[in-house]
Amino acid sequence: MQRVYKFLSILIVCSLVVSLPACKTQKKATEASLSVQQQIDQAKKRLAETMDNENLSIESKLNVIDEIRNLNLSDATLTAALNKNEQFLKEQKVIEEEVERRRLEREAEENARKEKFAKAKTEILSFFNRISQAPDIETANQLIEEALTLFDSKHSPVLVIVKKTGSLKEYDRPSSIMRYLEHIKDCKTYENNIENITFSDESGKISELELLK
Amino acid sequence: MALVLMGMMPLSKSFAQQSSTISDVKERAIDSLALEKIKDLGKYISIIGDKKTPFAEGQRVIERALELFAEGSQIGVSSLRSENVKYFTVRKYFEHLMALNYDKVTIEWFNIQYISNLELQPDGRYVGIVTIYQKFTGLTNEGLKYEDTTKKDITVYVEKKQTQISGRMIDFWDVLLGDIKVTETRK
Repeated sequence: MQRVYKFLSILIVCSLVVSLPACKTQKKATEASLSVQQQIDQAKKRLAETMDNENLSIESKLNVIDEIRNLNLSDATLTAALNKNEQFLKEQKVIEEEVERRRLEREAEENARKEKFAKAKTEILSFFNRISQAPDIETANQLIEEALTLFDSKHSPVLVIVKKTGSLKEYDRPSSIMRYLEHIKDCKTYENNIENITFSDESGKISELELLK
Repeated sequence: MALVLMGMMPLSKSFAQQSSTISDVKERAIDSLALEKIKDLGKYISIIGDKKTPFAEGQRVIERALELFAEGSQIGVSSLRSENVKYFTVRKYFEHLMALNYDKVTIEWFNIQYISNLELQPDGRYVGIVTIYQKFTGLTNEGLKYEDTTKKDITVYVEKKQTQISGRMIDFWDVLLGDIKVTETRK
């Protein structure tokens, strides 16, 4: 009986010695497979959260996609989502860049327009001033001829606003730039400020002048 | 072609019922516009009468001055030598002014005042009267001098019109001068 007990004890110990490492390996394998799946789930979650985050720039979102890709997680759904969202973001980037390009273009055009207006206004007012102070008729006439070179035609309209209510304007009897300059020469004064300058598309010169009393 | 804005008439009628005058805001703008036209006329007369003004310039300024007037207007001329006041058509007045037999002529307008409010007339125009003082000095090379100061009343007509400029319709106030009557002549 004692020999049997001894034999059984040795047998139990041996089986324990053999089975314990196998349990650990299996446990490790189970643990490892759970970790990859978790990583995939986490990556999918992170991708979804990133795409929903309106505060992130397109560039930041693309960086997140790259980071997820670099995890080298083998999952068809995840890979498809990464590719689809990357494509979408790249298209959005192109649109954004085009919108920005147009905005900058409009801004440049507006700045150029303002600069042209300011330059023309300065020139015109300078002529008005010099004509009004011309010492004699000949000098005044010479200045008038020079001033007219800024305009499309000596008949280019000059409108003087006598009353302005919001966008509604009422004018004095319309004149032409030639007559207006001669008026300044005759009366030796000008009192109106420049409200608006219209340029001709063809010649680039002034086609209409709007003054404000 | 100038058109009177008929749309203004109902509003103008209610004005007529109350005071027959333009609203305060409009009156200021149009009053100063009318005064400005009269000041322009004063300067034109000064240029036309000035013997130093070249003939071509004088003619050009006469044309400008004529455009300030309503058709059929007349201008009174007086003299210290006579109690009679002669009335000329506007063109004749300017031609007479250019032809004055002095070697130097100085004409100055001052105290230009709007003495009556613009009032709406049945024909849709606003009418008022502006008074001015004119100092006239004529000198000859021989040393003879004529000087007088006259007080004149100028009738002013203001009408809202429309015209087309660069393909769009715009509203404008057309100020035209009527008769210029002499009310006083003194040395």
